[in-house]
Formats: sequence, structure tokens, C-alpha cells
Amino acid sequence: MQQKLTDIELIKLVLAGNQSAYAELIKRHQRFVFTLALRFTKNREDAEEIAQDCFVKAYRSLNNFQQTAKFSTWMYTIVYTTSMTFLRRKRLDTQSIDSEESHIQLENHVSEFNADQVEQKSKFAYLNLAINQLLADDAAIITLFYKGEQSLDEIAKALNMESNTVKVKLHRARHRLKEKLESLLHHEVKELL
Amino acid sequence: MNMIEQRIWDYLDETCNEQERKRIEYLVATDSEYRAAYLELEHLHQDLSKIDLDEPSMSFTRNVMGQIESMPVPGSVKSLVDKRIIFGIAAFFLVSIVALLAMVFKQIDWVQPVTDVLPQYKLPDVDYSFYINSIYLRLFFFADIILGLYLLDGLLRKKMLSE
Repeated sequence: MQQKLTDIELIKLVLAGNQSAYAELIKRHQRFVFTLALRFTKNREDAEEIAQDCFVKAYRSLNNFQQTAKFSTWMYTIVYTTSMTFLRRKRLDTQSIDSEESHIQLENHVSEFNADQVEQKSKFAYLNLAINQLLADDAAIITLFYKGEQSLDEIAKALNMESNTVKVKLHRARHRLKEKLESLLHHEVKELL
Repeated sequence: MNMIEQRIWDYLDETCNEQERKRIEYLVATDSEYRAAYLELEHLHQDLSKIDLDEPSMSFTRNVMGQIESMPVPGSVKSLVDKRIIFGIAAFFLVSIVALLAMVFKQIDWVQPVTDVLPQYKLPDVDYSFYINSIYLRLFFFADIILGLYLLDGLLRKKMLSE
């Protein structure tokens, strides 16, 4: 059975001239990069544009990638700077999405499966909704920690911060997420009564 | 954020030391407030770990590959320049400098007479008015402006590409 190549091995192949190896790298990281971009922009079309731009930028600078770090960590720094430039240009309000949009998204997420699936989907829909209502930085740090499989030290390195600062930021982000979640659920219960 | 939450997050993230870990385990087992907070945060922690990443469009990979298709292999110019060529150029300059220094030292008259009078050197008379006149100055400034605009254009292009 053919062994799965690591990110570093794929990068070496790309640098050696095998451009198609980059497609494999994109496939591996596209969801993570896209989700991070979505956390910043709160808009799928913009996130898709940013995510594509990030992969193009990464390709151009692939020879500058320090192969001691994780590819996903490096990608995060590219996503962060690209998103910030994009937001600055578009002057988007990153505070929160309006409640009307929130309900539309919620309806899209819940579909007619069995009760357990609906409950599970609904739970994650609320969680996604709450994450979307967070400040971009809070949402990104949560995604980076839980979905980027990054330790606090790695995140600190990527953000050029102290490990302790990242820890405090993550704690605060989760606290705010919990508050948003409670407020959302409270609102739903009130509507049912 | 209260202290209990912070300690429990440290426990869940495994960022506390062994002693602190045991202390929190004890508190969760004996203190109802800690237990309630632990159950709530542990639940959120698990849910966050299980949450799915968003999926971009089906054509995402194809679109990116289409954009990079015409680009050269990253770092290709650098990799094309053989290190032996760089070392060869460095060796040539090194040999030239050494040869030049050797010639200079060879021509120096190391024996000088002992005297209080400083050796005199008279600079050659050069008619600078021939070189510094209004036409030369205007040409000089014109060339400077062209070079300045060329540099500015290069910088703006670089900035636009990086954005």
C-alpha cells in the first residue's frame, strides 16, 4: 500500500518541479484555510476568494517556508495577513452578523434526519452560530486551537505572541463563546414558550 | 471570567502542572460548584473538538491550480544559479584584490629619510567649470528624476503584488 506523504515531503516535491503535488496540499488544508478566512470575513464568497489567494501566495513563497514549522501554522499567518488586508480594504464591520441572517443560517443547517441527528446538527448549528457572532480574532483563535491541531506554543509562535497571552486570549474567547451560546439558547427557549 | 472557569480550562487544555491537576480533580469530585462548571465546560470543549470545518466550493482546488499553472516553480531562479558559479565569482574577486594589494605593497618605498618637514603634495589643476555647467546639471537632475520614477514604479508594483 502506498504510504501517505507528509506535508514536508509534498512541499519538497513541489519545489523539485512537481506542481501537481501542490493540489494534494490544497486538498488537505483547504477546509481549515477556508474556515479561518470565513471566521474573519463572515461571508462565504469573500472567504473563498481569500482562501484561494492564500494558497496562491503560499505557492509563490513556498521556497521561503521554514520546514521546521507546521504548514498549517505558516498558512495561518498568511490567512491572517490576507484577511486583515481584505477587511481593511472593504472596511467590513467584524463585530457581529445581524440576527435575521443568523436565523436563515440556522434553518439551513437543520434538516429532516432522525431525531438524534437533528439534535446533534442543531447543537452544532448553534455552536457555529455563536462562533460567527464572536469577534474575528476570538473565532480564529478557537478554530486554530480546536481545528488546526495547534498547541498553545505553536499558536503563540504563529501570532508572534507570548504563550501565556495566547492562553488568556483563548480563555476569554471561549468565555465569550459560552455567553453567546447561552444568550442564543435563552432566546430560543423564550420563543418556544 | 471567574477563577473556577480559568482553572478548569487549564485542566482541560492540560496546561497546568501535576500538582494543580490533582487539586482540580479533587475539587471537581468534592465541590458542587466546581463539578457543575467542569461538566459545562467539558461539554463545550468536546463539542468544539467535534465541530466540522466549513467546506469551500467543489472547484476550489481546480481554481487555485489554474491560477498557479503558469507560474514558475517557487525559487526556481535561485535554484538555477549553481553555487559553483557564485564561488567562482567570489574567488576571482578575491584573487584580484590580493594581486592588487601585492602590487601596491611591492611599489611602496619602505625607507623614508628622517626629517621634520612634511612631504608636500600638490593637487593637479583641474578646470571644474568645464564639467559643472548648467547643461550638465540639468542632464544630471533629469536622469535623477527618471531613476526616481523608475524606483517608485518598482516599489508600487511590489506593494500591489504583495497585497
